[in-house]
Amino acid sequence: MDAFTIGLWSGSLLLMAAAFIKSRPKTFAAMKKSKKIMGNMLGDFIAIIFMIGLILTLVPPEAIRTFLGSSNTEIATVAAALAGSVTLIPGFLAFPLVGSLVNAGASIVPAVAFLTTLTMVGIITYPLESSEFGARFAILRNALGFVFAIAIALAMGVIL
Amino acid sequence: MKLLDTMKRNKLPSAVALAYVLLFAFKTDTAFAAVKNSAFYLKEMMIILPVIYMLTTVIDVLVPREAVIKNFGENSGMKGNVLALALGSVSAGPVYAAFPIAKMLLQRGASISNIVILLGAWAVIKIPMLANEARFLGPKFMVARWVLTVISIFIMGQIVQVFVKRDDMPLPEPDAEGTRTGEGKKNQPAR
Repeated sequence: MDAFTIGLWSGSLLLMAAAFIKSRPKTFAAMKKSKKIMGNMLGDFIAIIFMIGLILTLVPPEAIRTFLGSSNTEIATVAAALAGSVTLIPGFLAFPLVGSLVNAGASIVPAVAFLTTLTMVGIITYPLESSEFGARFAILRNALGFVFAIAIALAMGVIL
Repeated sequence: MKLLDTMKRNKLPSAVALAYVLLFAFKTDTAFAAVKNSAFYLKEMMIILPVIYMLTTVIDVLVPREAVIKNFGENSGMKGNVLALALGSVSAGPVYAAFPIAKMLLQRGASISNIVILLGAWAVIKIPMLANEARFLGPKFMVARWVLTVISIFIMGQIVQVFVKRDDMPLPEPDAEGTRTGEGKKNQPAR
């Protein structure tokens, strides 16, 4: 566990203690409520995780290189943004991958589009988001995430 | 028939399970590799899930409804946006881990724009990740992307707020004592 996670654990445990001190019955009731909220999502959480594993196996991160390194920047940007939307690659894999490409001279616009949709758009998590927050919310949030990711990518191309 | 019902209610898990069954049958090696790849994320999830559970509980007990409305509600303004950004930034784990917390806040009166900001910040802004980005792509790259992302998340919050109303969401009745939280999912007709 890294220091950050340990900090979160300690903080949460302290807050739980405070909740118990404030009111035991209320805390037990709230625990039941949280359990219900999370119980509904747990199956999807696990499904999402195994889906990530599957996608990472079928489309290894190295394969993303082809998208990002393409010489046609416009097509590469859209393809990279799509690739980022359907995959959930953790930062510690994505940053070195993209870093090596950019350092080798690839355009940063597709690179940024990929990095940004990776976190801002989640096709895999869409079913869960939609059932928990409604389809309107989930569609709009993810669609806007996609549009803004492209805008951020273009802006970065101008700035840097 | 019962199995079919269960599968209908759990579309994603059923689809993934089916994919794995097929994969194990036809490409066993790939299936094992996929399970191995999943294990890492499963571990990450297990470590953070109890924290999410505790925080969701604590919000319910320690944070009064009025405080949520005042600080995260429709009239919380810029202060609410900044607070949502800050809350999302001191997070760990994947964005879907934030769903229970977001849902609890929403039930307690947080505005939709602040929920969008919270989820956005949770997904994008993580201090260990920013350090990683600066290391591999340079501090200038990291800062520029961070600033642009924060601006985007704020604008996204405002846009979603305009087009999505509370009635569009499968939420249970406002947080009265003893509400059967989470039932909304099952009662909501598919759109």
